Amino acid sequence: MKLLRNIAAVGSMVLFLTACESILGSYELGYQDSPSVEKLEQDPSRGIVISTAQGLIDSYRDAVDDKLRTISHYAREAYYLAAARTVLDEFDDAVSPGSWVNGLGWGGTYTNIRTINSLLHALDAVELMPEEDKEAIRGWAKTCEAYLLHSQLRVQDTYGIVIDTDRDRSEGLAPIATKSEAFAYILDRYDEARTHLANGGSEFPFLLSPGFDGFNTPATFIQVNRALKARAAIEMEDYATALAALDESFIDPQADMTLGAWSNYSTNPGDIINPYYDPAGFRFLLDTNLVVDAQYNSSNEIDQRLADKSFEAAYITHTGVTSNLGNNVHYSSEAPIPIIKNEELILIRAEARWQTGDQGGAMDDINAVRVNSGTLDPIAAFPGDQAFEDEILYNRRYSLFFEAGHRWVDLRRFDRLLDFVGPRGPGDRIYERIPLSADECTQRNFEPTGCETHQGLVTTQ
Amino acid sequence: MRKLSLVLALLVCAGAGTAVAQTRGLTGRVVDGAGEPMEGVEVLAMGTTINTFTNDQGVFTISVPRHEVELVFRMIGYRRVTVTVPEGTNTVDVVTMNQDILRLDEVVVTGFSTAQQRRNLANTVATVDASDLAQVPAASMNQMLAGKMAGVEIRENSGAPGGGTRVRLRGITSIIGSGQPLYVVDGVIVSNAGFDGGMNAVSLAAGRSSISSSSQMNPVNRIADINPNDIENVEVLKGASAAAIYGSKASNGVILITTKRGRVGAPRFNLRQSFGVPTRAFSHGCGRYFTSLEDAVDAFGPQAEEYWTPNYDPVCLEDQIAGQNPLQWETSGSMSGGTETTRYYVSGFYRDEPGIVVETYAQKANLRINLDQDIGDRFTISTGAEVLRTANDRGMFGNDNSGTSYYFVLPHHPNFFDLRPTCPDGSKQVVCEGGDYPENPFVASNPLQTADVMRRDETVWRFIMSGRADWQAIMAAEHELRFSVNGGFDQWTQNFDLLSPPELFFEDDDGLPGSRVLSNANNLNTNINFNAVHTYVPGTGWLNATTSFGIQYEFEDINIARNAARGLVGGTDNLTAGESQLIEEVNSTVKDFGLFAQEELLLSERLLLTVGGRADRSSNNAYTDRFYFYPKASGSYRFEFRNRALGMFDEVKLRAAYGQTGNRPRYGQKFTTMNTTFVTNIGGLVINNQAGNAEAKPERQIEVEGGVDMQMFDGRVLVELTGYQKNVKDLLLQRSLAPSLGFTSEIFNGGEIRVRGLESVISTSPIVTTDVVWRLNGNFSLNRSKVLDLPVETFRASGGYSQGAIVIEEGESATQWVAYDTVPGTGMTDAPETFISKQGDGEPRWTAGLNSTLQYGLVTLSTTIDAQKGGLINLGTWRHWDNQKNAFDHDEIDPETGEKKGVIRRRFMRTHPRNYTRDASHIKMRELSASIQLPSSLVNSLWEGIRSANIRFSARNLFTTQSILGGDFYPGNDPAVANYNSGTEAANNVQWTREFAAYPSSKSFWLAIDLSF
Repeated sequence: MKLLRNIAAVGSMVLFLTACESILGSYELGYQDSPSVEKLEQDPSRGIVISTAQGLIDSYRDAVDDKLRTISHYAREAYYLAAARTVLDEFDDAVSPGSWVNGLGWGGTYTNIRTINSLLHALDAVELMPEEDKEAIRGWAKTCEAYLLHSQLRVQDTYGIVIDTDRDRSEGLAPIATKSEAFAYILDRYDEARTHLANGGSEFPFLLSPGFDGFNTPATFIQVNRALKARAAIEMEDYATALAALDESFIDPQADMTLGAWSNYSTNPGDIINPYYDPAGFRFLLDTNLVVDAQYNSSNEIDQRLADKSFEAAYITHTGVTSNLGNNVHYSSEAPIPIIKNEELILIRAEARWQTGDQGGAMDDINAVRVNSGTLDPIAAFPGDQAFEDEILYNRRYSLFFEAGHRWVDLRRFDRLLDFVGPRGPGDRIYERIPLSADECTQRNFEPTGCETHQGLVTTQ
Repeated sequence: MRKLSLVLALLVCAGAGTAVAQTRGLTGRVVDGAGEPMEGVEVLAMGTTINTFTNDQGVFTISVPRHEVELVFRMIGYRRVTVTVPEGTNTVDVVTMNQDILRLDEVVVTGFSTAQQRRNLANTVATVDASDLAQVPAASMNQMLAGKMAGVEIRENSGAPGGGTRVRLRGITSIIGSGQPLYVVDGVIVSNAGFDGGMNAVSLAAGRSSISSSSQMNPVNRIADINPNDIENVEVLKGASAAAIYGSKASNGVILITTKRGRVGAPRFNLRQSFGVPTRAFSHGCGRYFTSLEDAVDAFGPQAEEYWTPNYDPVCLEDQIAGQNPLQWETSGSMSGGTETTRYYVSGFYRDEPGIVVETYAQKANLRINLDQDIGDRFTISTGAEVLRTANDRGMFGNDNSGTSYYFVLPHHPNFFDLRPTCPDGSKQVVCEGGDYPENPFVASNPLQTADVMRRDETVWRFIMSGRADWQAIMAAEHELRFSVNGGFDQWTQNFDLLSPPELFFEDDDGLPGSRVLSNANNLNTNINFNAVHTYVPGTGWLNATTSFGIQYEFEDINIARNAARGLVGGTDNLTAGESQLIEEVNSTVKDFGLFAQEELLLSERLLLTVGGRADRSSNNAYTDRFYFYPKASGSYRFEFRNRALGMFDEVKLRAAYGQTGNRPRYGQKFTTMNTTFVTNIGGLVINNQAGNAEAKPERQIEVEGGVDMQMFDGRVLVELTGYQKNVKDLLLQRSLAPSLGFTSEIFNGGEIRVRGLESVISTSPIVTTDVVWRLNGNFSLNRSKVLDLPVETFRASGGYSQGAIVIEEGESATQWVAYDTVPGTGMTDAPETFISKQGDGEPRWTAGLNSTLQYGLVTLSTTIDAQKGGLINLGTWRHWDNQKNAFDHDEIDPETGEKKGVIRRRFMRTHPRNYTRDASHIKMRELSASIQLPSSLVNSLWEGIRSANIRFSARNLFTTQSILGGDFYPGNDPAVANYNSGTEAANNVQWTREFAAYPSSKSFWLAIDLSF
């Protein structure tokens, strides 16, 4: 018995001492699933800076990806008919900060910009990185920031957005900048980025996805930077700036219309596939008015752009919206979405040329797109501004539909939102702009005008 | 630390070398009220650890010191008896023990190695014993607790086989910290986590890019694995004053489960075989009958023309999906017994639970061995080992974005289209081998095809091992010093295996037909406690002082890896065949360390005073070397009245208790993390949109409890009244930030919530005769919370206003429900402006339970009724019926407006979510059972070895009524079920109020045969 007792006593001491090992060990266990932000913000290594620069490829993608489903409804281009969400009810209701849309991309825009700001600070602190590499990353990051802000400004429009983002949280909230302040900042930022890129050496020190092929050095990426600046410039009706920017861009009426910078999707692990790819014609269907409004050439062939980017599917009806027009814009699970492409640049130049009195040049550009992309007959002359406006809107619609909701922005720019034909007939709402996100408004006591409930317009057709 | 081990070593040394006094032998006999001998009664010499057990003749022999001793006779379920045996005597008079109907002699845990009799306890600790627990089979142990204890709210996540529950003890305790109680089985902290295997890969409820979504899939929380038949009793420490011994993990209360152990005596065998049949308890009403093509096209579009015919025979999809009445069964058996030094309990259990929904099931099996070994008279080693296996296929339920969840399809399906397959023999059945399923023209999937073709198996293997060693270092007349080591581990592995073959209609929607998910979750909890307990009982017995010290160490490690493949090349059932592959890995590791000390003084068996405290550190805190201290103190005084006071009271106890507990931050809450992104094969990092809390510390709960227990009418009635106030400070909160700051939310400590509540329990035995025993137990509880202090502006913790949000607001209830409204009060009146307002509270006004057991001769009738007044549930499925213009009552005319009901509801669908958030008041009959003990003459004539045989008819969830308590519900929904977001912190803790496309609830009927021999 005594022996047993001793064995038990020794046994429990051994157990105790073994347990001591883990009991006394460190309790600082760290985070196991990903790096914590301190690694970037305090004493950054070259590796984490490079990885963060590469992370911005996803931020470029977010600028459109986050918004496309909803903004395509606003643009009456494509409808999400998978029924699980009631987004289509947006056609019925006023939109407020608390609505489901919640500022449309607002949260994503600013969290991406937060990464950009931390990256820019890290670049100042990182060691063992040549200055030209730092400049290249600065140019890449600031272009991304300007692009994200512009994409967001297109949603909020005259409600304005926040541009002063590089602040400590203790400083409180930055004011909401007006539309023109925001545009000025965005153009400035594109220019700063351009300067950085020009000092950026011959190669980016990080990897880019294939959608940036042709623009994957600091020097060639300047062409994308300029193209994006031109897009912003025409929206603020600064046509001279747009034309100047286009000169440094990759615009080329002779080249492939799809030349440009694209956001990729893939079936690779960790990546996502194009969420709008819908070969069965079940979830993302195009507005059938695209068929009604399409032009035909002299051989009675429908606009090739529509023919290429749609297909006939079975009829689907949801919440009063019916369509049988499947989308081929997102033609595969890896189909990229344009950040900006040649076709858009040519149309931007057409518009800028027209507005600056170069009617012949505008005609050439329009026809380049009509003929090359739409296989339509060229137009000989425009009887006036209205006819040009109709034509540029037509071409922008068919060249760019279901890519970023450009048509919504375009009709707003030309004050023609009531041109929209509702998919359910008259009586639907058309928003002119979208309020800020709920949390942005709550923290600001709903004081900014962007925190009001927006009633929108009501379609008449 | 080093100092501590030194102290411990000294204590160990001090214990060595004590002498054993000279002894004498005593014999005696124990009988019950009817004069029958009682086997297995523990006989204990007071003030020593000398004990023995009676044999099957009720006879015992024991060696005790020669001086006068007090012998204590105890047996679970009986009132303890104390007999004084003078010096020089060797026999004891026949001892008679009576049933302890009010359970005052029950011993209740007060520390890691200490316990007190319930009659002296200064806290209310709710207990459910084996006899009251496993009356009617249920998917999980938690479901068996519903209605049986005051202050314990149990909500089922859905009616799915395999269970899944949320438990709230005394109201809300946390917003985003962990909100579920701590579960301890025989001293081992066991996991109650629930991991989604990866249904999201198909349902897309949380988007395409993730495989899993715990918030959307309401997984089984693993306490459901425990075999209820193994449980001896369940003790619930509800608030901080009772649970302080568990320190920074105890703010949500502690549920202590003690398993059955062997008793001295001949082997005993118990066998129970149960058969049950479930049936769906509620009906959504089979949809709208379309009287005209125009209506059908209006609701379902032009394709309705193809399928609608005048005067069609409607099909009822709900009856097809969830109309099964399969045979369920349970087999459980145990074997126990032992000698004075070795005692064993061995049990096995199997439950087969096919669901009411086609092709769904759950299975559960376990094997447990509990072994106790005395080594000499000072050492006892107790071990327990349990292996469990559970498996299930719970179909596709809950939210989805792919049109695949069965009850999502339901409201979007017109009843003029039959989804049933044509079977090879030409018949139409719900599912059949080789059936030709029609493609659903209205929603992406045909749920009958999905149920038939999709394979979805979740398997859990679990191993729980507990051990305890007790050493009586000193056993002197007045002093006793005991050391114990108690600990063990709980390890489980969950495998999830899903194959959604390419031929499923929805599978080609993304151009990647065929999906495969394989995932594996490993969870390990280990803990070990070292305790030293010193008891001092001076000779005259006026004082009993118990001093205890302890060290606790706990470790938790979770690893989850999930793999999914979409676009299976050639339909190959293999991850590597996927064109698109996804991988997820989630890890967490937590280490906690605690020091515990407590002093309990029991004076003259009347006054009990306790002070104690625990200091804890945790790896989840920002400062991992900092100890957080949680004190406790309590006192109770018992007045015994020889002559009944006021003609009623036999005994009155006044009690008060104070205590603190913590709720440590969750793993990772202290970090702001960066997320990995991939575009094509290029990886990158972006900062997470949630800012962590670099100063994270535990939430602190301070509870004061007071009450009075009154024993009346010769022990016929016991009334316990308790009031408590809990203040939770340093709340872990997640506040929404203005996104322009770069984060959409951040975690911080701050603010304070107060919960006040009342609990009352009345236990009575209105009739106790030789033939009839009627026990009636009622409980009633209510609590109110208030956000006392909020250092930030009012924020939304979860949800949007168009469906209802949790809004944390100073001065308001922490469970308030805020949503859009049109016009207050009327709700149905059109108004141009919508506004946001408080529209209700998720917490019930009160809850109550009633348990009755009537024993008449050989027949026993028992029932458990559970009631809730107030509370809310958002009926997500109903919203979809209306959205689709497909509700069964769509065409009924509203008498006030003359419009169709469905049209009115639909108009206000988003601006007046109150329409779908209804008063959840209800009364539910949880259990009803009638058992007949077969006469022993009959049984013995069949087989002499049989000790007793029982036949039991029972039913679970037999009926639910809403209207009596003002409940206000749409048909089809169980008011006691809320599945949506059950896996996320805030929703788990605060918002028990959302249902969407949940697995339907059922009631079940059972026949059981019990044999013991």
